[in-house]
Amino acid sequence: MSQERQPAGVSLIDVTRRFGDVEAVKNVSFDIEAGEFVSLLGPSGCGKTTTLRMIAGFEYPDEGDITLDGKSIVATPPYRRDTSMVFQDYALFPHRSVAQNLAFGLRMRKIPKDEIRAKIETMLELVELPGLGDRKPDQLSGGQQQRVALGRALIVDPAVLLLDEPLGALDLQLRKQMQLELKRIHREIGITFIYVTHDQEEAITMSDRIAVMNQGSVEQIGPATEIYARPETAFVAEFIGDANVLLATVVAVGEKPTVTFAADTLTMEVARPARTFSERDVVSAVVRPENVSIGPDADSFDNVYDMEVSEVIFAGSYVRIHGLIGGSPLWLTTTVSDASRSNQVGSRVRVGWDAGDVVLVEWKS
Amino acid sequence: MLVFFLIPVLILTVYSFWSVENFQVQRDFSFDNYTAIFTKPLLYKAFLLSLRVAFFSSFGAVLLAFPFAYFIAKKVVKYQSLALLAVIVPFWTSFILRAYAWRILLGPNGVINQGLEAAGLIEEPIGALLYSPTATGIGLLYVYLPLAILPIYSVLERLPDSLTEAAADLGASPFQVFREVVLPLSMPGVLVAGVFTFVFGIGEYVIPALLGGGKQLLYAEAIVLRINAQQDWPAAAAMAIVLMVLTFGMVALLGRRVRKMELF
Ligand SMILES: Nc1ncnc2c1ncn2[C@@H]1O[C@H](COP(=O)(O)OP(=O)(O)O)[C@@H](O)[C@H]1O
Ligand SMILES: [Mg+2]
Repeated sequence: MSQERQPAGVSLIDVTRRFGDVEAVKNVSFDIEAGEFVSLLGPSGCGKTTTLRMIAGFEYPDEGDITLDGKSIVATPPYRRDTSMVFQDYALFPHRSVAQNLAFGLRMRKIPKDEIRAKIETMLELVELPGLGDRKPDQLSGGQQQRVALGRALIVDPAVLLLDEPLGALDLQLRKQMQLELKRIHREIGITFIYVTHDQEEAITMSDRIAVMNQGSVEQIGPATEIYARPETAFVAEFIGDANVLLATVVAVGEKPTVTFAADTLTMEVARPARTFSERDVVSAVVRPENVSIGPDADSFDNVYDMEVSEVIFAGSYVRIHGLIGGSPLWLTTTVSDASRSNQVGSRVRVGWDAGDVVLVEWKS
Repeated sequence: MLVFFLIPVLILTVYSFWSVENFQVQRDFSFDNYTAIFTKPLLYKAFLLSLRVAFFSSFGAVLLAFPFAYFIAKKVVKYQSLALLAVIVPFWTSFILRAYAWRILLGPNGVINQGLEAAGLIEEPIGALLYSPTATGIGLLYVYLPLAILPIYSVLERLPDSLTEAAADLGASPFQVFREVVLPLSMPGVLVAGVFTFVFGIGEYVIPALLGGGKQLLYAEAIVLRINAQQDWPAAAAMAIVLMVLTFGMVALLGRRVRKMELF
């Protein structure tokens, strides 16, 4: 596709939006680079849609500023913004054919008819719907409607594409296929994508960076790998991937930071935390289940404990083992062959993990 | 149900081909009653006047109703049911009563005249307020407005906000959003409102009589006259059947149009 518009960066600066007493979006700030694929990820009701709608212009921020390409857009009405939105319910015009839906934005821009026709053909190909231009939206499957919605938003060459859970209504298989296709389209046209989803796997698969939202705030923004390895809050740790979140107390800081946990009965060495804690601070110690080793090998790690196995669950390609260490629950995942050596419920096994695999975050209140 | 409707209509049809002589019904067969409607100046003038009244009440009411309906469906979020109730409540009171209420408002000793007098704006009551085309117009619009608001409201209420937002997002100005999305998608409701008010309007004569002074004969009034003053039941039957065919024809046409447009 011919590139008429440069992608643009989007910044939110201390943006707050209230609905009556509800603070739907609280003091949110982030910068999205031109051409980036960023996901807003979080549970239902955390303010993702409201954030996206403020960028599109359907909601206004009560406080703060939003810029597109460095220029404030809060006073610009939606129809003059260089953003395009793919709606959760697709919002296809039911009284218009697929081609007329695609043509809509171009007609509003007074593009000549023959040019519109050519662009429709190109777009039908890009979203892989050739020959369906004459259909009405209600004669299409959900997946096809989704593609029309996508094409209709892209055909006007926006600088930023906003997508609100666009795959939410599709079944799993179609969703996976569309995820790949959205990635391909993003690569091909290179504009900025801001993608709202509550599905962590979807966000991880697709995004350059993820902004994890909770109760109206962005708790962390970064590449999936970084968020996974270095979550900054207990919420982020639990929302992205699996996690043991242990209530712990800092007992030593400095070269060899140490915490106690399991009601202060056990100690654990941790890596130097990204943020500073002081002695006696109550914290969450995050340990990923796949970083916990089990069996004789466990002895070689920094932190080694006895675990009483309470449950062994076969989960296909791996096995989940639940147990108690010092009375505190812990779970881990291991390979099927490793599990077979220690799969006796009630038996005692050695478990261990490295100091570098522990992330300390503030205790979730 | 159908029997209660069909039998009277059949009787009416048979009647309409008979005639009256010396106040006696003659059981002959002729189309005279029908041709009279379109040839006697008194009758066709009444018919044309009724068409005008119907057109005015339908066009005016729909035009006025649209912003009301839009406001209730899209702008009033919290008090929507209250606003709807305010539209429906007048239906529960007799509309003759409501027409009389307007007489009290508009009459020489009415609220408006007395208010203006008290404010020193006028010295004599404006007699032309009542018994004028304006008074008739106000009364007709007042009575037909709720009838037009409801069907338009019901389509607008079902119109997803995401459609208007999508249009705006794609570059449509508020006026373009209205023309390209809101209006075409509310057409079924607009048509229902238009035909309903037209059908009621063409049979109208009470409001013009009470507020307009009944200076000109309307079609429905002419039917009553045929019966009451002239005892000419067959002529009245023919006139009624013309009216019925017209209104049923419109409703049937409307049904087909709306079904074709049923979009969501
Ligand atoms: N138009 C609105 N009026 C009142 N409350 C709203 C409105 N839109 C959103 N909210 C509230 O704001 C919060 C965030 O909503 P939303 O942005 O839709 O969350 P998400 O998209 O993450 O599920 C929720 O508590 C929701 O109920
Ligand atoms: Mg949402």
